[in-house]
This record gives sequence, structure tokens and C-alpha cells, in this order.
Amino acid sequence: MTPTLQPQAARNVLLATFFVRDTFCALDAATVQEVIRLSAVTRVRHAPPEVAGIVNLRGRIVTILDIGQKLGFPPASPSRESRVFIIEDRNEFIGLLVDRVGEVVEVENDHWQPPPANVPGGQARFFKGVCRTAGRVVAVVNAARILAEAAQ
Amino acid sequence: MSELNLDDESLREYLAECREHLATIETDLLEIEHGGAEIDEQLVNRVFRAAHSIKGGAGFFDLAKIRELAHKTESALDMIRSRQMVPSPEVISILLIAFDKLRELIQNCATSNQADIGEFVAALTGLAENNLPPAQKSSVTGHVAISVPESSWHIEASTFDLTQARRGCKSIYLIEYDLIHDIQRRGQTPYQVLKSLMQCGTILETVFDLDSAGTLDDEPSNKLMMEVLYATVLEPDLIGQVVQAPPERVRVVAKDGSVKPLAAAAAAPPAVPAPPACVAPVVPPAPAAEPVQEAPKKAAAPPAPPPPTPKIPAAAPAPASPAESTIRLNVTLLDSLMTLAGELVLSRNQLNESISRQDERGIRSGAQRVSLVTSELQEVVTLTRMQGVGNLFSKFPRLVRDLSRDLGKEVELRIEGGEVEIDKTILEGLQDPLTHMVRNAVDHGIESPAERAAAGKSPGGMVTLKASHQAGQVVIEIADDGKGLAVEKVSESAVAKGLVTREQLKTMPERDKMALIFHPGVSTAQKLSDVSGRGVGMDVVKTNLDKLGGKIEIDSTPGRGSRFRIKLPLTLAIIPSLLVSDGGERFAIPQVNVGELIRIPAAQIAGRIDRAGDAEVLILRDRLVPLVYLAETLGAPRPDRAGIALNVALVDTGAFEYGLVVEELHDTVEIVVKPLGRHFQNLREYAGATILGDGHVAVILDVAGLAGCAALSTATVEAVARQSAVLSTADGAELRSLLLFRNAPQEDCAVPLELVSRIERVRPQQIEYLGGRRTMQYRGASLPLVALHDTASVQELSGEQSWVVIVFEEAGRPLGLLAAEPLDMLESRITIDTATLRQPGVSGSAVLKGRTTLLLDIFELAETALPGWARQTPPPAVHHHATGQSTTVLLAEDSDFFRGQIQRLMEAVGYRVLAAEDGQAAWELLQDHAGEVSLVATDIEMPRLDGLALTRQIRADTRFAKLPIIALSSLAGEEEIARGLAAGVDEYQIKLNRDDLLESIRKAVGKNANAPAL
Repeated sequence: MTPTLQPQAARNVLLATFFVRDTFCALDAATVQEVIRLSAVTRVRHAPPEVAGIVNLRGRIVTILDIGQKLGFPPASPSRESRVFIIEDRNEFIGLLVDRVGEVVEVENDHWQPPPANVPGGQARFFKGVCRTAGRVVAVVNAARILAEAAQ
Repeated sequence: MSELNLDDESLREYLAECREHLATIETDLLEIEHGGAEIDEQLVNRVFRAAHSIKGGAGFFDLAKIRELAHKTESALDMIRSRQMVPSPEVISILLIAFDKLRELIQNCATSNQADIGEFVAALTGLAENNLPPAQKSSVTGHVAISVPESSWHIEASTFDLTQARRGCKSIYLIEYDLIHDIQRRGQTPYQVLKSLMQCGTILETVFDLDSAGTLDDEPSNKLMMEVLYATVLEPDLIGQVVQAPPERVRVVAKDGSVKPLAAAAAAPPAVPAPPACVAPVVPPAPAAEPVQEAPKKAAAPPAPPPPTPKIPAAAPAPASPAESTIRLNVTLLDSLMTLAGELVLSRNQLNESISRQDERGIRSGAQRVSLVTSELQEVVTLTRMQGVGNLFSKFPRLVRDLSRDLGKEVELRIEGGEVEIDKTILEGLQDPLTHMVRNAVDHGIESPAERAAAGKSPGGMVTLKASHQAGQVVIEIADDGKGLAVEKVSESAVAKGLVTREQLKTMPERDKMALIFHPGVSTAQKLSDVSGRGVGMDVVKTNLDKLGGKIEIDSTPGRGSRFRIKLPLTLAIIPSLLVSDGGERFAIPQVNVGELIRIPAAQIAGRIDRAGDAEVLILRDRLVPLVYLAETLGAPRPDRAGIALNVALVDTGAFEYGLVVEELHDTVEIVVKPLGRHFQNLREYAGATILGDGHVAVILDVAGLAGCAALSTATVEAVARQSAVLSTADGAELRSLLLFRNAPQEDCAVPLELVSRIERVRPQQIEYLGGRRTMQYRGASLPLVALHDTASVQELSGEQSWVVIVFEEAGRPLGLLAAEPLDMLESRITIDTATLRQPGVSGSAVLKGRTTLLLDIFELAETALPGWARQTPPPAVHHHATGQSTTVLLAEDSDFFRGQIQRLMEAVGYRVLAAEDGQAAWELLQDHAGEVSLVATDIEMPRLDGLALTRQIRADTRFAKLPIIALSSLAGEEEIARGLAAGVDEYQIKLNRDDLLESIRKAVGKNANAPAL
């Protein structure tokens, strides 16, 4: 899809929210294929640190990335609430491991703001911006950048 | 039209067709060149048509550069076809390069209009000019304007095209299509229309009349016109049948460029071919034609010299074509896939229903059905990935031609077995290694014509590429009749690199010396050439082949040529693998890499594991094998293993072998290889991933990459190997086919599969006890039955097991062995321990599939359990010389187990046997007993001196020139047999096929005894 083909008129965006440690984050819901429970992760030794492992998703091998580590947190400790957001990137399914899922919220496009200046630079790179919803500030994650930098 | 939409169905179809055309053009052109002036019109026509349809489509899609280049090649081909130009090597070279460029343009068709094709066009134009009579030369660049009636504009056509078209008795038409009414409304696409036109003629030009669509200010015209200038042999009264346009819009173009309605022309006498070029050339104003105008200035001035050949970098390989993402499939295959998918759905429904009804029988039969359909599905899906090797081979005639021209050699390439099919992935991976080897064969193998003449050979060399099926594998052979591999140079180079010592070289078999070429840095070339000889090469070839699970062998005779044989698996997608685990994680190791599995009891660890420098090594028989701890290599701490047995998988990287220490060894399973994501691209230690039966994922280990991680380089391995080379050089383990079965529930047993004639299921009630012996009814007679517990101290079969009788043939009489399921077959390199578990009837033990297994000696078992039974066998006919002395057979066999079996078998019928554990020992024995030995029976694969070398050595000695030699082999392919016969073997016998073996010994000895004594 070329950028010009994206609907210009859509003023509202659906965000799939989640928690990475205690940070309230979100992904553009349109990019999320599905959300699965974390089960039976196979660890791959010598892989880059942000790779949590690989899982079987209906016959496909999916790489799981620990999004928290990209954002500068210590490695995730999987719990019963851990979930994996499956997104497709360059013909490959990638799973983003989050600590807990939130709701899907609708925000208006013009409520976006750039990340606040006090977000550490290392983190700010991965945020598209922040917006307020239900009384909280949610940081919208730039999935493309996380994947691009992770794949090097 | 200006914006190229790559998703357009028509464009995709066009590009796919172009690729198909281009795929065959090269071969055809080479054949045209071969034919020289005697052209095969059909062949030229085929290439011409291909070029033509590329051009036609390109015009339609507005791919100007592709069209221009295709057009020029088409013109050149037309001149060849009409015998105006001889397809000399120079001409063909230019055409080949032009088609290469076309291929490149088509590959990148989105940017092709920006490509620079000036020099290619110039070369082709020059070609046309040099071969035309002077008067017509100007026609090459001239253009004629043909005005379109009822409109203000005109079509420009090349004078040359018009001339060439008229020369072939063609009439020229101007056809006007209304894209909307004539084409779209009839459910067609313009490209389809053009294609149908091209079947009966040539399209000279296509133009879209965008003006006819009108502007926004005009009345909506609802029309979009396309003008086609079309040359065909069809007369005006017939043209209407081909062209799907209203007759009033088909017009005839007269020789003077004027356009007349079809009706008028049809009434007039048909267009007669007349001296061409009576139309006045006009100077083309179009900027697109610029390269055409400039080219002749360079090329045409001196008419004699050949047109400049565009330079392409000499060493650059043809641009690696990206792996094809589409594949052509036989419809019947697709149908059967569809049927199987339907079956699968049905079986699933059946299974689901049974599960909901909790119908256990239904579940079982449903599961069986699913598994049946699945394996069939797997088989068919594998077939869809199969492609003919010919696709790959067809790239080589060009390579050989270009290379031999560059090197001033005459080389012919012969291709056989192009129809042999192999997995697409393997085929793609094979391209680079094969290219390298074909280059080598032409560059290093084949001598120059002068050298060949001096050596008494024909001046032209021959390179043969051959593919064939052998024992479930594909074998690809690259042979040349050149000077052969310079073994001395290879050895020198290897010594210089410190890979071997001179002392080692002295005892090294010729074949091992040749194999040194596969080590990095070893080369035969003294000076570097563009083509090959930089010492990177054969090692890379081998590495690439290893990745494909292939094996390579060399055979070379000085002065006669070399032969490389590559053995490849049929498919890579589904492979048998060994599962291992370590630290709770499971891993798969492809079975092709696994040599044997070794369990070292805790008590023996100290005695069997040693240190060589910093490396831990395992003492395996008489070799030292470096050890790699899987957990440690992958970054986990080495678990505390004190007091625990060590499990080692002996793995072979192709270049060397090492022992991989893992916590547990599991089963061998067939796994489906899945690629790992891009985050793991840099990890050499993994070959992919797979999904196990329980749905979990396991990574597949790449044993060569893993060795690299463990810093286990070839150098350290060589160091270890040097230490152990003192002891021995070759692996004693040999490929065996075994039948596995159980005795008591925990007792695994095996017998050589060759001995088994049948397996019957049996119920305990069927067994009769008569006269203290067990028998059962079998084919109308009573079959004597033995059980392992009759002779060895093992447990008895229990009534809960399902019993089987394994039937053997002993001297033409059947004998049954009682055993229990599960049964399994295994082909593996095993090592037999003949000491630890030796008992009467048990010749030894081996670790098979991770379990210690007893190997039974069925002859001994029968003789011990049924004393006298053996004596009933009819006495063998002849085994005594007239002198009364018993006949002596020299037996060379490296495996203790088989040597023992065969020796006993021969002695049982009265031969005297001299047994040797390898070829060298056999040779020494033969020297000592030169007068006595009447026959040699030898294994092929043996350490020190192998069976073939032994045979050659025996044949070289005049004393033994007539000595019969029987080769014993466990698995012999036709090639292998041929090699054996060439070495001087009289006959091949499968090991332990008792009756055949004895029969052939009897015949051979008899024949020799009757021969007049020398």
C-alpha cells in the first residue's frame, strides 16, 4: 500500500492499548493481526537480546520481540497476563510481547502530540506521539521503527 | 499508460511470457550458430517469433527501451532468416548480449525506460548495415510517416521494417481499434488482441490516439483509439477473419505510404512483392530515436570491421536472477492436491464426530485415515516443488561457448538427463557450485587444441553434464576428457598450507589426495586467471553442497580426464532428523549429518575422553574426535555431569566430523523445515526451525555453523586428525541395512536385512511343540522355529507382545525366528561392539536410534538351537581341488561382524578361509600364500587399502592375473559396479546373500580350476 492510498478523511484512529511494565502504550489497531496468549516459547540462543524466542502460530514460525527491552526496560518476565501482538512486516509475522493488554480506544487524529521532551531519547525514538484517552496519556508506539531497528 | 502498474494482470502475463521466451532463446541461438550458413529456418523462426512477441507487448505497455532493443534483434534475426546475413559467431555474440540486456531490462521493467541501451542498439544496427547492399543502408535508420485518415497525426514506421516485411510477400495494414467498443466490451484485453494478431503476422508499430478521447471541454466521445501497423501474408479479403475490428477501420498501406480502405484493396489485384524501399525516407524528428541516428556514424563508416561488441565485464557472472517466485504446475497435480485436501477435510469431520461420540474405534480409524492422507499430501506437495535439472543445465552451453572462445579452446558440452527432477531449492543452490565446476572443467580440465593434438587426442574437448537417479538420490556428474587433476600439484599445495605432511602423503590413497582440493586455499593453478584458480573455489563448492546435504567425489586419471560426482537428496523440505535435548530445550539435527550415536557410561569417561591441546577429544575406536558441548556452545553453562553418562552424536560437516555432547538423545523423526525470521539471519548455528508433534518449536542445528561457533576450525580438527592419522585413516563404520525388532519388551535386537526373506505375524497358539522342537505351519510345510532365549541368556517373549516370525533362508530351507513387534528398518552407519554382549547367537551390540541393540548371528543361533539341523543341509558340490586339498578363499572385510559371518558361512561348506581386516592385510596374506589362494572375496570400503585398490594391485601382478575376485558390497549402484568391473572385479555379490555368494564362489573356483595351468 502506498501512503497516498491511505484514507485521508479518517480522522479517528483505533488504538490497541497495552502495558509495557507500567508504561501505557498503544499500537495502531489496524496493524495488529491478532493478539495471542504467550505459550511454549522456544528460546533461540545467540539471538539479539530483544528476541524473546519463537513460537508456532498455526504452522508458521513467529519471532517474538520483547518490546520492553527495546524501550530500555529489563527483560520481560512472562506471566499469565502476558500477550503477544502479531503484526505483519515485510511478509513475515512478528510478535510483540507486552505485559498486559488494555482496551481498544478511539482517538481523534488531531489530539496527537509529539512525545514530551522529558521522555528519554532512547525511548522517544520509538514513539510516534502521545495522546490523551480516558484520562490517561498513552504513548503510541512506532512499530515500523522497532522492527526496522531490531532486524539489523 | 505512462505509469507502469506492476500489478496489472496483463503486464504480469507479458513479463512471465517474456521470461519464458528468453529462457529458450539462448539454446536456440547457440544451435543456430552451430548450423552456420546452413540455417534451420524453423529454429530461426522460433527465436524471431520470441523476439517479436517481446517487442509487440513492449510497444503496448509503453516499454520503449525494451521495444527498441527487441525490435533490433528481431531485424537482425529477420536478416538471418532471409539469408541476408550469416549467423557467424560474431553475429551470435552480439545477439546473445543483446538478449542478456533484454532479460535485464525485463527484470527491472519499471525502470527500463531510463536504461541506456545505446551501445547494444548501435551494435545491432551496425550488424544490419554491414550485411545490407549499399543502396539499402539508409533504410536502417530511415522512417516513413504514414498518415492516419480522419485525423491530424501519423504513425512513423521504420523503412527497414517495411522493406523487410514486403520482401516476405506481406501486405501491410493499418488497423484502428476502439479500445472501449472493440476490445473492452467484448471482454478482451488489448494485449490479448495484439497476441492474436502476432500469431498471423508481425506488428510493426502500435500507437494510442489519446486525442480521440477528447478533452474535458469536448463532448464526451467515449472512444479511445489504438492504431496498429500490421504486416501479414493474409490477403485483403482474408484479413477480416483475423482482425476483430469493423472492416471500415482496416486499411491497406500501399507501397508509397498512402492508405486505402480495405474494400478498394480487396477489389484490386493482390499486393505483389515488388522491389522494396520505394518510399521516401523522412528524417525522424522523434527524440526517442536518437541512439539510432548516432550509432551508424560510429559503426558504418568503415564497412568491413565487425560492429563493436558491447563490452561486458569478463568475470562477472550473469546477474543472479532472483529466485523465481512463481512456478508452473501440472494441472493434474493441482487436482490431486485438491482431492487430497477434500479427503483431509472429510477425515477431520469423521474424526471430530468420533471424538464427540467418544467412539474409540472411530477415533482410531479416523486418526489412521488422517495420517494416510497426510503422508500422501506430503508426497504430492513435494512433487510440486520438483523441477527438471534441464532448467539449470540449459545455462551451461552459453557459458562453455563463451569461455572456450575466450580461452581459445574447442569444447563441446554434452548434456544428459535434463529430465531428472529435483527440489527447486536444491536446484537453485546448485547453480553456483555447478557453474564453478563447469568453468573449471573448461579452464583447467580441457587442454588447448595444440596440447591435445600433441597428446594424440582430438583437438576438441568434451565436457559432459549428466544427471541420474540412484538409490533415492540424484547424482550429477561433471566429466571432462582433459588432462585430469594434477594430484601432485594439489598435494604440494596442501603441504605448503600445512594440511598434511609429506610422510602422510606417502601412504595416502590417490583418492584422498585428490580430495585435498576441497580444503580452503588448495589449488592446482600456478598463475591466477580471470576464470578460476585463486584458491577459492572447490572448498566453496563443497561448503555449498554441504548446505544442500550433498556429497561430492572425484575420480581422475592423468591424461584421460576428471569426473566429479555430486550426490544430492531429492528434497530439502522434509528431512529425517535426530532430536536431541539439552537444558530442557529440544533441537533437531538433520540425519544426513549424523554419523553415529555414542553413549559413554560414567565409568568409562575418564578412559575415553582425553585432551589434545585445549580441546577435549573422544577416543573412538582408533580415532580421535573433537568434542563440542552443545549447551556451552550456545551460551548456557555446562551442566554438572559428574557421574552421568555422556551422550554424543557424532556429526559430519562434510569437511570434518566432531562429537556433539548433548544431555539426551531422542528419536529420529521426519521434520518439515521452516525458515527462521530475519532476526536470525546472522546466526550460522541454526539451519531453520520446525514444529514438533506436540506443537512446540525446535530449532534445527547447522552442524558446520555450530562448529564455527565453538571455534572448532578446520585447523584444530586437522591437528586432531593428524594425531589420530597415525592410528588409522578411515572410518570403520559402514552403511548397513538392518531389521530392528524386540525380543522381550526391553530387549532390542537387529539382524542384517539382506538375510530376511519374509516376516509373518503369528499367534502363540499357532506354534506347535513336537519332539522338543517348535514348528509352525508355513506354506504347506512345517517351519522350524528358534527363539533367542534358546541360546542366549535373555528373557523369553511375553504373551502380551504381538509376535512375529522372521523367516530366513538357510541353504534353500526356511528357518523362523520368533520375535516381537514393533518392527523397524534402519539404514545407518553403525559400529558393532563385538565384545561386551557377545553370547551364542548374539554376535555383538550397537547403539541404534539411541538404544543398545543386540545383533543376532542367525547361523550360529540356528546351529546351537537346532543341532543337526545344519548337518542336514546338502553338502556343497565342489570345494576341493583335484589334489584333495580344500579350496582357500582370501576374505578381506574390515567389519569384525561381517568378517565373522562370512567366514563361518564359507567354512561351513568346507572352504578354508584366510581372513584379513583390510586391503593391505589381504595383500600381505596373498603374498605369503600366493600358491594356495584360489579366490579373493573383498569388501569395497576398507581403511588403508580399499577393495578397488586391492583389486587393481592384484591384477597388476602377473601371478594373479587370473585369480577370481568377488566384490562384496552392502549396497551397489550401477556406477559402483561399473567402477569395480573396470578395476578388475569379476563379480559383485551382496554381502550375506548366502546362496548366491556360495554359488558364485563355486562357479569361479571351478572355472579357474579347469583353466590350463600356466
